[in-house]
Amino acid sequence: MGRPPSSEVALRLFRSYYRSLKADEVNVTELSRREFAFSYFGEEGMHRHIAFGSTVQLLAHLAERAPRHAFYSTAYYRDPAAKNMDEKGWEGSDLVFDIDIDHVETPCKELHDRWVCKSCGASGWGAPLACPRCGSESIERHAWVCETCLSVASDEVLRLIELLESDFGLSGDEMLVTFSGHRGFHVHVEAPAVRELNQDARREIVDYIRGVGLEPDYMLVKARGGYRLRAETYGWYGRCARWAIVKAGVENPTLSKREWEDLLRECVKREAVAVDERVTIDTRRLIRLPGSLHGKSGLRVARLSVQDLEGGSVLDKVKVFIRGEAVVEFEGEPPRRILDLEVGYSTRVLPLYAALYLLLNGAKLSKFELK
Amino acid sequence: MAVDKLHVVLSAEDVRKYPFLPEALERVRYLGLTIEDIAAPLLRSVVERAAKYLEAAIDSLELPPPSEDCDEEALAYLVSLLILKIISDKMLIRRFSVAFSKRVFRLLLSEDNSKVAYVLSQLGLRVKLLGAAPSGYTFAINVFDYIENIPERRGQWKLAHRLVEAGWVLASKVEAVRLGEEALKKAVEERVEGLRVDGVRIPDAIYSLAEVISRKWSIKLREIREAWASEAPRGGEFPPCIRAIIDDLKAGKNIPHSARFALAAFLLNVGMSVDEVLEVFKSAPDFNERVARYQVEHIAGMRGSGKRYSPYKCDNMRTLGLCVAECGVKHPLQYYWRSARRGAQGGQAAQQ
Repeated sequence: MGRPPSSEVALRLFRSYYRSLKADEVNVTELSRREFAFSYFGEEGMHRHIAFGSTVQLLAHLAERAPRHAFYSTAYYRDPAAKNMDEKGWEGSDLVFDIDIDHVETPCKELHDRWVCKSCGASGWGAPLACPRCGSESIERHAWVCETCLSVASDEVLRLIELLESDFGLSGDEMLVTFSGHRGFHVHVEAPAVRELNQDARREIVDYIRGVGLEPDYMLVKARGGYRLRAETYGWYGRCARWAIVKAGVENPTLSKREWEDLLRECVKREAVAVDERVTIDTRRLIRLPGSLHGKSGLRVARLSVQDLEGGSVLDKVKVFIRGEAVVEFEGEPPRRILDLEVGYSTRVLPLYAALYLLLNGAKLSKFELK
Repeated sequence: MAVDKLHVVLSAEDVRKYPFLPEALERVRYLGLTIEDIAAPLLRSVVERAAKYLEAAIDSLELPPPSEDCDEEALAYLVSLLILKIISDKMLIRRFSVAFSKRVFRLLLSEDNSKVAYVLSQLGLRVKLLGAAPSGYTFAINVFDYIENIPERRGQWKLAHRLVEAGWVLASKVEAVRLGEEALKKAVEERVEGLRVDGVRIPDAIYSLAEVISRKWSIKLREIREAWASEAPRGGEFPPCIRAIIDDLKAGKNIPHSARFALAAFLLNVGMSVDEVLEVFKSAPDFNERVARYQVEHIAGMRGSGKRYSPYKCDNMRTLGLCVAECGVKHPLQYYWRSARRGAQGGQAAQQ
């Protein structure tokens, strides 16, 4: 089957990347117990139930096929190549968190995200939930990422790490933090203590992190003239107590039930971390392979340190094709900002990584040529 | 995570009350008491006791108090597990584990804290004793062990309502013992699962008991099934969460994937065909018959693994933000069956 010319370019670039990929850039613990899955340029569908005996074998496959998307299982299996879930023999799963820019409020969506209403044909910038003209929720979106989105999402990841350390007693070296390759971050907890947790237990962790189900009735005790927090340190009590100081101006205030309800809501809004519950609850999930490239961005699923997240150097870690340029011509309106660049109609020459991102993420281009 | 070593000396009395502890097994082994050669008089009392336990389990009754004789108790416990293994019925095993764990719950409540902590640690819970705790809590339970063993995922047990710090959850003695009860239920079931009966020469007295219990259990099962059948549902009401999804669909809203899954799985499980389900989805703004059919058929178990999916239970619906009301059930299907049953009873009454 013939591939469109743009695929050919991307495939060539991906192949050059995978041919020089080093074993230590692919961080997969107990690789031979994991399932792998790939999709390839010019082909539809996903190839699943693939297993490798060693990192060397995996690297050879990546170099040979240069997949468009590469995934591995968060689960450990007795026989990861078995076609059927029961035969695979589940033997535990990492505890994984997904922080997606789509679920985090960012100020920059107005600068790069486009929408078109499928009901009335209106279109514009930003990411509205419903069409501002006709109210329909049937909206086609085209989303992009920029430095600002990544920085807001990085803060979310840092808060998650802090919460996992302070409340769950996990240590930084038990967590693998990666860029998801496009619109967010993954935090993999690989500690033996979490591997066998069932879905119910994982859901309890997600609810805790997102502050779901916090009810004032369980957190308050009656006091003269109102209610007080049952405790002021530890867990959500500590967070609420801190918010109470901010809001009421005194430590350990006595407030009405209603005031506490408002305060709790506010506290959850500020302190909860927006993780995607489905990813964490799922104990048989496929997730982006660290070290691989994302087929819709050309960015690397890079391992990140707390310093990377704090210092705002995420993009430096994930941009791959930083040498070279491409000439592009836009058909229609380009996103005004992508990654670390401002873009406009007149933009003709872009760094290769940015041009590749535009190409892979479906920008309408009338011209794309490597320079 | 360092857990303090607990130094507890167990007496014969403890073995009697907690025959699942390794010490009980050790004692049985030390006395040279194996299933194959229990002496006749002891065997008789052991078998009688096991029979009482299993019969109580069949009827979901409380277990009688443990035997005064610790060897008899330890063996009766083992023989009960052995018979459960021979019969290998999940529901019966569950009934036994529930009844047995309840008895242990009551016995443990009257023990001192260090013994409670010891028994919990033997059940795989990482536990710390907090001396004079200012919070009033005397136990700290490892957070992962806590969430795996909470009896309910709401109210006081909800992790967000707990004092949690650095991987530990504070708990009162009653709460700690309750967590132990949950852990014990699972431990008993795993124990039965892991027993190997082939190659063991089982005394005739135990086999005949297994037959008696098996017979009694099948009578009980028939009663249970008949009760279910007489309440056979005929078209129940949809729970509020499912109605809300359908309303959103009808209103042309673009509903999230999780809601689509919940709705499709629900409708299939109450007996709708794939075509009927697709009809419901037709009002979705992005309805694509080919894609939707593929997905619905997958959920129905006609593709892929061949497994029909259940809709999310209420806990999951809540987490996904799809729960819209407190309707007193644990599963959306439960709501449906209950109302269907009410309908059926009403219908029968009308016919009579």
